[in-house]
Amino acid sequence: MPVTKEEIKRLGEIIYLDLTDEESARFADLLNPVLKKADELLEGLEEEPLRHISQLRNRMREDEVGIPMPKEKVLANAAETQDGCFRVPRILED
Amino acid sequence: MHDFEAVIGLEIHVELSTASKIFCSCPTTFGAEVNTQCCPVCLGLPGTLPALNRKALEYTVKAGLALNCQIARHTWFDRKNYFYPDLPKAYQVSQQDAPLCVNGYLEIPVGDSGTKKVGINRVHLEEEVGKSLHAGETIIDAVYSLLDYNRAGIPLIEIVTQPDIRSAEEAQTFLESLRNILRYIEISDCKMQEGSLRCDANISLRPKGSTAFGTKTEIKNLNSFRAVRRALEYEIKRQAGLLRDGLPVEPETRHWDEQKGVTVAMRSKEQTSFYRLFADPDLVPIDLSAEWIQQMERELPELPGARRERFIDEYGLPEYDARVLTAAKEMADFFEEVVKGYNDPKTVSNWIMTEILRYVKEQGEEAEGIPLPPASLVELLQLIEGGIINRNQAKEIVLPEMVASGKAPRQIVKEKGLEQISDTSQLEGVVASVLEANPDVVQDYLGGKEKVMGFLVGQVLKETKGKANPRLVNEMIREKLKQ
Repeated sequence: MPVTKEEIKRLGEIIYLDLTDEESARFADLLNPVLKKADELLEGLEEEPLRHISQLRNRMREDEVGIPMPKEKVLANAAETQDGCFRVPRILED
Repeated sequence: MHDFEAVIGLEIHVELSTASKIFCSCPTTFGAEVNTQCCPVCLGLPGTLPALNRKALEYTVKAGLALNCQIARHTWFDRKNYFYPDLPKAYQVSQQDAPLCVNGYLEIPVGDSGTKKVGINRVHLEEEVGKSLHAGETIIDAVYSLLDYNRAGIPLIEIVTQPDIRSAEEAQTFLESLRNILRYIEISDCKMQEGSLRCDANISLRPKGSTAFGTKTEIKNLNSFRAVRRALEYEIKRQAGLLRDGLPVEPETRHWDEQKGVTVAMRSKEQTSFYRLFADPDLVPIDLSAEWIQQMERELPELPGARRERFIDEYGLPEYDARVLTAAKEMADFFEEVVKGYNDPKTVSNWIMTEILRYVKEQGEEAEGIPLPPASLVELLQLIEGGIINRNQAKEIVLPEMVASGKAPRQIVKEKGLEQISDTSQLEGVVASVLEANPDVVQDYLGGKEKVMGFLVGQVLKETKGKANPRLVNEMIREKLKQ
């Protein structure tokens, strides 16, 4: 199924990429042959989609408490901190 | 004018009471210093590999079984991607296509003796998000936010009901019943004030008798049973007002403002959510065997419904008593402990339902439990039975002091000098002087007016500041006047 440049633009918005109309159109043109090829491969296929490459099952850990990371290390890569917390810009838009 | 019916569905999040997080060994202690319970796994740092906490899986399956759900034999986790900083990974591990438990129900009490089944659409396992502290009064007017990731990665179950609830009151009853059952199976402490049980509500109205659904709104920020009820009552009125005026109900998320008692529309950056879900490649799928599921079922304790029936059979309690006592695990446990020491179930039940329950209610809707140990109530009941104190003294003086100070009843009786005087030699003088002071009343009694006995006993009690054993005084006066 081909994608439209509007869908590409919308996808860009979702991942915070501000695409121009030209860029959206160009990406749609680039993507569509790939999608077409994928559709051809999938045609007539009745297999369940493979969700995991590994055949491993039920890999679990016991409910045991370990030692967490020191707070300074937790915050080491934060762009901004305040009162021991990560500080982030306003979350909701008007 | 239309008569509307409310159609309500709830989405409940419950933090599981495991010691460690869902995919790493960080502790889950409530109230720890901010950002001190984090590690590379729950912070989503590169190169880490999460592994599922076995207990979180067991707890979820137990919740599903207690809610009469079918348990999936094959399941996996999905990544739900979004740009919201409450998780540092930019995705939440959740279950979209393969929830662990589906198609269950919970039976809730309605009216005086009826019950109603509320369908459970699904129970799935996911990870808790971090805590956002908003600079500003609410999330809506916040200038910036501070993130504490201690909570991020605590195992969380999401329970989604069918739209079977028809009133704000029913929603509250459902939540109370759900909380009770989850506490019975000991998978969560379900404290709404600490956020370990949270509820969002979907609500729409439709003309009574209609089977189609109206446009729904979703209400968030419901932090207590009372908030759930009040917010739904408000939203029912609001939507009914719009519909009566021929105005549309907007399909939106609304925020409950507890202070103002209103719901307010809120919009987020990702108004039209597109979560790009896909199976988490780091977490391997899970196969559950029938044997293992049966094992979980065997490990379930007696659930509230079964316990209610047993209370009726085993202790000969009325249905009403059995229902009240089993409505909270702590209460039912307390009852059974007291009966072990004082084998008169109906008396114990009466004391719990009237006196003890009053103290529990005073603590608010999220009472930590019964404010005294079972042994104390046993002792109190024995003091009454032994004639050491009377029932009124027990209720009005000793019990309040037991709750307030935690002292044993016997000690309180001693300190307050409440022991009844049950020694005739101590009472003889008082009885004699009361009879002497009331010759007319004595004549009335001797003339056949039995009723005046109460007056005479009362006088003796007054003289002894209520400490005389009334039954004994009664006998003594009778004996004296026979002569």
